Amino acid sequence: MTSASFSAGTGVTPLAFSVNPSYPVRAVLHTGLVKALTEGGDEYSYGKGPGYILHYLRFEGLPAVDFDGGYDYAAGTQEAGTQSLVNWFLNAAGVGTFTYQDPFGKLHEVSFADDRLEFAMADYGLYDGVITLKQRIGRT
Amino acid sequence: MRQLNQDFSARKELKTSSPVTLAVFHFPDGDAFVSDRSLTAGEGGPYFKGLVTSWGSLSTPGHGLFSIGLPEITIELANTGDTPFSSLLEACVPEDTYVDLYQWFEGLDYADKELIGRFVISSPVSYNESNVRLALVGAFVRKNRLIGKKISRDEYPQVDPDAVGRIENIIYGSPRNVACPAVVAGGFSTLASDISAAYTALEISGGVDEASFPAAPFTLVCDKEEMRVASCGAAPFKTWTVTRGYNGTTATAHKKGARLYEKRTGYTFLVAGHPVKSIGDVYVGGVRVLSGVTRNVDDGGKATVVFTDKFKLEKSVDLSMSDDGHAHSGGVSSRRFYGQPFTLYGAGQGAWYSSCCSVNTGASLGTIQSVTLHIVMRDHLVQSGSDPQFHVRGTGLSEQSTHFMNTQGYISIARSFTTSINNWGVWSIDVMADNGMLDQNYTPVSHPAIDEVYWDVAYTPNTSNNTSGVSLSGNSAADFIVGGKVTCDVDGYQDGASGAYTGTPSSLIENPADVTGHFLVNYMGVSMDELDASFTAARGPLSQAIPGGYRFAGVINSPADAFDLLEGWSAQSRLKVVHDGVSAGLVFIDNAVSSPVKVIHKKMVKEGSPMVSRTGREEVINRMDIHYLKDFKADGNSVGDYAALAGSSAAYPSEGDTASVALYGPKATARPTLFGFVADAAMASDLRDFYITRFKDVKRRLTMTLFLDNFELEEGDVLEMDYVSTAFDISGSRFYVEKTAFAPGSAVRGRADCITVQAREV
Repeated sequence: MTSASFSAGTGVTPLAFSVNPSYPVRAVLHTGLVKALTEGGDEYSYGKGPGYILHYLRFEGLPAVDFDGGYDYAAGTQEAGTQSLVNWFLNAAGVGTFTYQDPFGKLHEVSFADDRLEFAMADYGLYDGVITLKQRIGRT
Repeated sequence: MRQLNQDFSARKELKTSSPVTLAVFHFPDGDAFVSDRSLTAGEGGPYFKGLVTSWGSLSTPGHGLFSIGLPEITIELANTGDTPFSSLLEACVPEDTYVDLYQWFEGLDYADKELIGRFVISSPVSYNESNVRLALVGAFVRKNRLIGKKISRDEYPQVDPDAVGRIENIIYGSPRNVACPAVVAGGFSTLASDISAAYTALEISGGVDEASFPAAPFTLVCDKEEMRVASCGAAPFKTWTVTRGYNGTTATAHKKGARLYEKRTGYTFLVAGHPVKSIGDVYVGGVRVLSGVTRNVDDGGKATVVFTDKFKLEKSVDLSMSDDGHAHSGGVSSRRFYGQPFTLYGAGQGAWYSSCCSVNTGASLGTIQSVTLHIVMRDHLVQSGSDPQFHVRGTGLSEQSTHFMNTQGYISIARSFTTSINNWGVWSIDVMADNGMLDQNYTPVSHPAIDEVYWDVAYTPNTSNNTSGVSLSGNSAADFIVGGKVTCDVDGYQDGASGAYTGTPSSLIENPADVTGHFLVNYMGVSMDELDASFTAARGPLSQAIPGGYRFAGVINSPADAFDLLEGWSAQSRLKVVHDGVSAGLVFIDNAVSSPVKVIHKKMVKEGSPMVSRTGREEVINRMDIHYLKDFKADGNSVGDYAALAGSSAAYPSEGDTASVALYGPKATARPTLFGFVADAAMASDLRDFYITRFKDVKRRLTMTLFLDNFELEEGDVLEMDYVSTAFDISGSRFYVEKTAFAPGSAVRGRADCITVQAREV
């Protein structure tokens, strides 16, 4: 088992999490199909686009250094040579895609599914929260 | 029902086909292809970027059976990437940017996509750094415009000031009595003061009217006299020097306010702002003009009538008498002449008091028929003798006596005497008191009083007894009318040599379908290629609706919104105009339904979607008055401007539909129905029958959601329901499609592509 991490190509310092997402790690598969029934019981079912997976990464006790270590809120910059989830969310990845390596070493091209990041400091210097990642699959 | 290409039709019938809605924005710098997913749209198709995050529902708001429906839809797009979508919007004029929406299915060639419609970007448009939201409206909105070219002095320097600002007539069919404004009218003014026959310095009223007079010298006409204007004097040109009685006319006196107009070789009246097929009878002030007018069906692209002179109308009265030698005996008149009251002092009893109470009648008033003398006397008598009396004589009166038998006390006696007077002049009387009249002192009365004396004359007046010729003869010139409102009967637009609009070369454009097509092309900027086959197809039912067919006859003579005109024509022809932004079509709305275009089975209706409602009482029409045969001389558009009324019709008497009236009460349209392009009684009757038949009952209205296998449905289609339900007894019933709304599906929202249909029971 490896550590979960985010990477986005050269020039961007990867974010390697000190703790892995807690179990169960939910992954919801959306097929991109729509279905509708008629009054007569017939079913219309067809694809309306590519399917996708929503990965729900639930962190418990994420160290502050992973959460926002080295991040200057006033300047909106990250200390050189370091990386944090906050910086990744706000700057490094933004609305674009990046690579998520799961604890089993599998790579996923993902993007943040939500427009906000909600973590709570559950203990001193330790954060709890969920990251939702969207991974497109199937047809393009 | 829309006609779809074969491959598309086959694909839409499959319940597993994947529909894709495509949008092509035609920006100035190139087309932008977007959809709700990134894809290459089939063989030969471009790459569509998946920027659309949400499609709204494509619906067509409308408020009536014949309203012009403009489809609307909202779209939300992601505003990200190196070239955010908002940057494209900022680089264009959104309202000038066309957007084509297509429906396509995966697996089809790009060429097999079907157009949903052409749109333009409309408000609201809003965007931020992540999203763009914009609305689209049917591109036909850009064809709407104000119709009517104004008559101006710039184009017509000699125009009648009253015509400036009016619009050039647009004429279809064969309207009668079309008002024709004067566009070459010459100068016009009025006299500011009375002038004699010799007066040569005219004071004219001035103002804007004389602005169209040419520079002197020119010839002026006042009543029947022509004058040569040598000079218009100094500014402000209100005192003109003229030669009277010009061109062999007779100088006469004219009154203040008399009309002055410039004599020209021609006076031009504009029939229409376009060539017409023919011009029939011409009228001035309602009087048909038999000569002196030239009809020009194409006078440099317009239709005109030209008069060689101002039309003059003498509304004179001939006062000559046909039997002027007849002795006219008029009625007898009467006159009363009073003499002065008098008391006979000084004269003794038995002595005459002469020439008292005289009058002078003056000159003869006519032939005397009779003169009666009336006398009222008084005195106070203690007693009277055996034969008290007094005597009177006078002009035309021999001595007469009158008696006071056994009279005593205060007396007042009135007596009348017929005289033989037959001449006017001085008339008088003599009075004498006789025996037996004793006063309060028991002495004979010597001074009786004449309280009142007068002569009543009956005579035949001089003027009614003239046996020579009566002097009243000849024509009165008091109602000498120059000019007047010019109107004419016209056959309006005619088709060209190819018969592009009517199918028959050079024929009159009067079938409402042809009129609508011609108007769209010539006044709204629609190209001939945009008129679909329904224009030709609609001609048939219209020509067969009544003997002779539906024919328009009307004039556009005031500024009008094009859509309002089209909607008005639709109501008068039952032809609904539809336009998808690329092509225009007509839908003939008929109450007689031969067969449905489609049977809707229960297995085609989205689960849970059917709903039945009932049309409201406010939609009921069970009696109706249609005002038609508009008077195009009139400027207004009220009931009084229409010469005919269809208050009853072939199917319904004036009381309307009896059963409906009994159920709902008499229900008519909220406003008077004014059909300005209907001139035929049979057409008005047929329209009245159509409306009452269609709206006399409250009907069921069915709303249901279908899928894209019903993509071809459109307004006006008739559906038959194959739908057995305990809730709805609609199976076998037929419904007119009133509206359709298309909602593209969404994988994110788990929503299938749907067509929502609103239909009214037949």
